[in-house]
Amino acid sequence: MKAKRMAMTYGKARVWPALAAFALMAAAGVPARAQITTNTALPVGKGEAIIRLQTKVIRSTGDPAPTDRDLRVTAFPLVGVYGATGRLALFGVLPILDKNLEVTMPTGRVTRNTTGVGDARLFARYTLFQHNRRGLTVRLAPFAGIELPTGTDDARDDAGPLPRPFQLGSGSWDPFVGVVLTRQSFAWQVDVSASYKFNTEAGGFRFGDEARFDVAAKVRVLPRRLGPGLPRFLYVALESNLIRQGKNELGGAADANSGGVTWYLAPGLQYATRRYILGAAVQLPVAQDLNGAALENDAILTLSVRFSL
Amino acid sequence: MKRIIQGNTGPSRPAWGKALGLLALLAFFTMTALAPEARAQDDKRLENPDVIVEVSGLACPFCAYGIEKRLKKLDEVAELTVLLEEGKVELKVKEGAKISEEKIRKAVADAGFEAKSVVFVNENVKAPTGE
Repeated sequence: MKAKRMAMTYGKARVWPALAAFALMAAAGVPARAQITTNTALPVGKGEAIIRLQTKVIRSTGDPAPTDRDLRVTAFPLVGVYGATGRLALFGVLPILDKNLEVTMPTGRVTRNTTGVGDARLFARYTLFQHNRRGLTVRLAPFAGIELPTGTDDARDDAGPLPRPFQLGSGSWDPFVGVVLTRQSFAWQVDVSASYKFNTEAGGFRFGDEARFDVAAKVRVLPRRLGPGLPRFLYVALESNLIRQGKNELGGAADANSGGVTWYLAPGLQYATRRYILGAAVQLPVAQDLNGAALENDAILTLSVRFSL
Repeated sequence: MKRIIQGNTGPSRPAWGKALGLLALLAFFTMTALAPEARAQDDKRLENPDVIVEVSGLACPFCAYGIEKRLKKLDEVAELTVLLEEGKVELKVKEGAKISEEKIRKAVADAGFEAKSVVFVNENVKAPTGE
């Protein structure tokens, strides 16, 4: 079957909500002492540095049209955290992205691909409130930051410029704010986080604002009984990610085929030692109410490792 | 930036099914492989600690490492051990050195936790506040 370049305008309105939702999933909620897909308010000590390496794989399939579109995105968000004080932590997130879209054209199966650094995030989190007693901590921490236009937003291939949602970066400076509440005990931990990102316009295009509400709970399954010293914990986790994205705007006009609401549930596992934490979760789309005729996301696989330097 | 694929890859199985299967497999191997590891304890206790610090808010091993690092940075501390369930850190002070309660409390606070009490088992290593 003869291959042919695909014109990216083909079916684009149905693909971009999935891409935009993934971009949000890839970049948000990945601080280094977090649960698997959700932020946390647990402390980072003064002068302490933590690195988190993460892999997220998404696939959007199930296209009812003959085009049989197959979207695959892989993200590698690199997270660095530094404790400025016992209460103030500074975060940096640099995602490396690989985006592929396959589609069946009358002349064959074709793919468009883009790979590179996405938009970085810098933000600070301050522990506003904490209540501690033996084996228990409750913390409330607001955070605020900005997403920087470090990803290219003018990439092109033989078919011409890549459409904006398929670019690695937005080209815009996007501030965001949020707050996270954490309760951690020996037996279990729950984190509740809400955040909002104000996307700004760049080059006549503006992504819709993004709001998310995350709840994450994990229960220690091993060791069943704590003993002396410093045991390693194995947790079973269940996390919920509710994400709403507004409609994108092109030249000031809203794109009716963009934005919407997605709710994920993510069962997972986490193994915590004094030096590192391993985590794995699968984010399952429980409900997707996307605007227009959007291609919905399948599951998102998340693997992560974080270690204290 | 462009890659061309020949032929049709055909219909895909639901990715979530594969993902769940992968997670179940991962869970099985993790539980099997890490069970002995997780049951293992770093339960070395210091013999005759000089200072016992009761720490509030400490509830996971990864967080404990933050305290361990802060306290190890103190010049006076020779060795230490964290007792997670007891919420305590035992310190051994270097021979001839003295350390103040204030300094220990500040190190714990810098790690993001609270020192509920600082007990000098060996009064000879206690420095006056301010030193």
